Amino acid sequence: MTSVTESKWVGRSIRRREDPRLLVGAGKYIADYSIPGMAYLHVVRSTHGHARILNIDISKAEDYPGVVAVITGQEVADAMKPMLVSSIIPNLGGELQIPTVYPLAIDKVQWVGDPIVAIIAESKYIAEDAAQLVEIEYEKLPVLTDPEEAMKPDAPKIYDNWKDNMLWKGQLASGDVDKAFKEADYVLSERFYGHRTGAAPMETRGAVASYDEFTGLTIHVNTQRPHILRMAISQIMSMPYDKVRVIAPKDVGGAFGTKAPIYREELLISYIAMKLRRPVKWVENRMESLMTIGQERDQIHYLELAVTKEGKIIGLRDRLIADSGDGRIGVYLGFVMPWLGAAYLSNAYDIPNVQIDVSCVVTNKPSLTPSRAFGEFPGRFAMDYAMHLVARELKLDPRDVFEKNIIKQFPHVTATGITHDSGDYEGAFRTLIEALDYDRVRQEQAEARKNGRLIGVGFAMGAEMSGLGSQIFVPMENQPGYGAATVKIDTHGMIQVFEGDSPQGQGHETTLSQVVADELGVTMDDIYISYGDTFVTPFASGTLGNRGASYTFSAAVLACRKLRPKIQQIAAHLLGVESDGNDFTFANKEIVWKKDPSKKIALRDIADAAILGPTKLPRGMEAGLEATAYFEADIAGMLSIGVHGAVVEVNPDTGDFKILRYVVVDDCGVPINPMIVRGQVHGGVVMGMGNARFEKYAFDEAGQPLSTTLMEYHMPSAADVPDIEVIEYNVPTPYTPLGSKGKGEGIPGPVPATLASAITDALNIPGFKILNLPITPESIWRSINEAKVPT
Amino acid sequence: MYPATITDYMAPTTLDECIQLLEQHGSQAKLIAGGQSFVPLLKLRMTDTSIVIDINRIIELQEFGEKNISQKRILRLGALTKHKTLATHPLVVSKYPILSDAAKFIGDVQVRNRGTIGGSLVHADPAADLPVPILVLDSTLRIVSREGERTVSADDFFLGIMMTVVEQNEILVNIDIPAPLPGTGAAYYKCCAVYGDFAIISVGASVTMTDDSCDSSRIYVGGVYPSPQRAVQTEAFLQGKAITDDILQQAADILADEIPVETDMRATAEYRRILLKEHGFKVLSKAIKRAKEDNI
Repeated sequence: MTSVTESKWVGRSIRRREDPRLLVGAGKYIADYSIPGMAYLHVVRSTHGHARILNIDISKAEDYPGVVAVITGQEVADAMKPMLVSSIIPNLGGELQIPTVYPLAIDKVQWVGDPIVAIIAESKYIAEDAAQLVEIEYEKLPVLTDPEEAMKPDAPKIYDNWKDNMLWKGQLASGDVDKAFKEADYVLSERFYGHRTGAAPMETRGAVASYDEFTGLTIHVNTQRPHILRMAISQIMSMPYDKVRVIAPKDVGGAFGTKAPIYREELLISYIAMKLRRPVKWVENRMESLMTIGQERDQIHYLELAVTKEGKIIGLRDRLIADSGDGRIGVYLGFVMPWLGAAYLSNAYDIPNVQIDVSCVVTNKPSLTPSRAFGEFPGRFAMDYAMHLVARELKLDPRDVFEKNIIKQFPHVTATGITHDSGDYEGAFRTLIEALDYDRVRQEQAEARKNGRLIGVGFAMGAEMSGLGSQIFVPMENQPGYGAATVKIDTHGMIQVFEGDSPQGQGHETTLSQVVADELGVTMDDIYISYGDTFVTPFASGTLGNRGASYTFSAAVLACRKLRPKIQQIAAHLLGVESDGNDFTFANKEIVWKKDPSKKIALRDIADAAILGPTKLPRGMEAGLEATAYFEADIAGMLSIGVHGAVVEVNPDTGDFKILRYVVVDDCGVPINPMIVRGQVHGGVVMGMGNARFEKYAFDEAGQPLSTTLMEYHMPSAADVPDIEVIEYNVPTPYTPLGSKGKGEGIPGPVPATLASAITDALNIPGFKILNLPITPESIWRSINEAKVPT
Repeated sequence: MYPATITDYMAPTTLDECIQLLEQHGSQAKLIAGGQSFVPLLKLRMTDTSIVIDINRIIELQEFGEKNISQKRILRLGALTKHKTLATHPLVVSKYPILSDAAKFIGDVQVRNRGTIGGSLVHADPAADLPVPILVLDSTLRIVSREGERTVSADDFFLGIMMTVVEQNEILVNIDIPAPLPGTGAAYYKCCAVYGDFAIISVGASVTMTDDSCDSSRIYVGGVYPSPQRAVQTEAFLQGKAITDDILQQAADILADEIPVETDMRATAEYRRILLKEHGFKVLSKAIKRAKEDNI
């Protein structure tokens, strides 16, 4: 650390700078972008789950007044490489079969919603009118909607040139698992299923693309990863890098992971803008969105735990089968999520012997797309709920089983290679137990039972990644994992910060300003944040995976610290004092000489000298005041912990249950803005409850989606969720300059096991188990009946 | 999700003008009030309507309040009565609480501010909220066309899934609800997956009591196909009986048995019967409690 900075801004619950413009409706989302001469794209999609396309008749659509162009698959394919190019295929070992995919289907469709024809028209209304005139003749093929069916040797193949339907197959293993299972006093073995659910952001996907031969392609698109998309477009369309400019809008209405992949529509609209030399706009409608993105989870776990009679887990075996859907999205391909879910399966527990066999299977559904708690949601449910079942079986208090297994020493590398950097998981867990008043709840439970009321308590944990560094990212995704930021002091002494990430509601304009304000001794009002434009911002991975507060913000801190010596040298020169570049404080927008605080100068005057009046600078000093920094943590990974607990009351006649209390103990290192952290926790828990209880991307046997409106895809509203109590239990990480870590990624993860264990505890029926998500009153009622009937 | 071309929009200010337009434009025209069912149908292109007749300005559809009609006290609800009014108006809440029971959980605040009772009844979604209390309260619906007007009892109004007796050239004008007899209480409850959703199952009941004895009742179940079903056996069972929890439990068992339920995305038939039993009991209890409060 250089000289002292007063921590005036970090750690305060400052109201979000973004909110005033959003609250008055002045936010600028993708749908708000217009370019003169713009046409509108509508995509005609498959109505069949699996079929050959025999014929496409576009003549009537082409003749419809107001239609600019109607484009089919082969034409688009001829103009580019198959989309899954090297820069967007992860390397995770194992066996991968890569599907061939172009923006539009050519001769075969793989799921209901597969894009087939692009209609470009003068208005979005005309485009939809014309879409109804496209006639497509199909030959139906057998539809696979069950991954375990699709894995069978005699199953029909979804991709003709593959040897089977296995998208990716791999193993994560370490230790002597067989020995652990031989030595175990008890082995728990269950099949758990986490259904297809995930995110449904309020703003759907969308893009506005334009092209001319001089400047090339400019695409405004609400992506989380503008720089990665730029690389992908350049490579897929063989366009020079300087002719591809990706710009994410200032405001994006939520993503939760869904806007991280490289999508077919992004390449499609780029091609169309080039071909037509006209700007084109596409905004996905709600139905397309619910048919295409946000579908995650969808894993089966055949989980086995080898346990000692004291409740110590000595071995874990799992056969994970993921329903990857068609697996044709860039970067994630429908298997990266389950893979990471497997890697994080052992969660916050010290389990030395682990073997996880992962099978990611293609089916006639849309590809899995990331949703926060990336790949982990079903595994968290399986693992943590299994620990409660272990406790019940061994007649131990689940509290003791958890305490026995929680990771206690840091850094800790798990059997699957995940590095837990620092923290106090045990302390966080005990804080939850205290907050729940666990022993008293047990007494109340006994009292209530006498009056016929069934009350139960449950809990679960989530050790969540907080960004991944280059050590992981480079081998995995051929991309850096560093955080990057440029800090630039302008002519007026105001500070412009550039980040290559692209927030979607996280509040970077607020939190990044708090961080920089402290570093340079100014106020938040002196700072403005620029992001989204790949021609302006430093290369970066994107806003995802809890990267912001751990990586990107650390880079901004480092950039400020790079600038500080130069600012001090200029100050010393202008003040006529001696300085070693480290003897000034930064406060109140001034640079103050420590030896004599009456010697001070405004940052604005320094900026004036450095930029407008360079003759005032020390002889030989380069003009300007800007720095770019790249931050890598000196450790392979960082995680933070969240411990969830619930008290519920269950009606055994109907299976309905009420959440009486929901408590979260949360660690994010040093919270930059505690209010925003709490907001993330609240939102994450609500998402977890929606996913665990109400939301389901459902399909019939023909692969027809049954949840294409929000009338069927039941997202919770305020009336459906309890009050959420949040307790901060923050342990600063030594691996970032501020001790901060990200918050947002994993919060939904512990929700299903928390609820399931509380419900199971309340019912107190031997043999009662919740093995499938979602947890609905009807599913509980069924499980009660199954437990009552001896098998 | 953008509607097809609407070639014409008109907003008559009188009922006469409206039925004239209905006659003139035939099946191409549809009425719009709050638009909470119709606009989604337009957006999903599930209707081929090209002419929209906005009825919001028609004064005859806006009646609201109690009045005496041929010496009988009734509550008259114009077809444009908003869900919000039913959910919150003191007259409804105090004297016809089954209507506010039902209206306050329709959709969300925005839906309730725009949605109308006429729209909901004519749309006739079997899982909608308002048909059940309208049936329970033995309402009469007035329907007008150029040929004249007719009144239909609620029991004859619903023909099937999204089908009613209202013809293409007709408009539902108002709903008359008889004021409750002394000693009458009514209640409604809906089971649904999330707040404001359509019913998995809904139960509405009105019970008229003398002291502890049930004189008569009307019980209907929604969320079943093709439209709400009347629980005649349950009503017969309760008639003349002194009401105890045990009797109500038996009534709920009969209710769960007699109503034909089906399996769909929201729940299985089996589970619907469980819910009927549970909530049949609760709704009857609540109706009886209200009836007794009324007696006091």
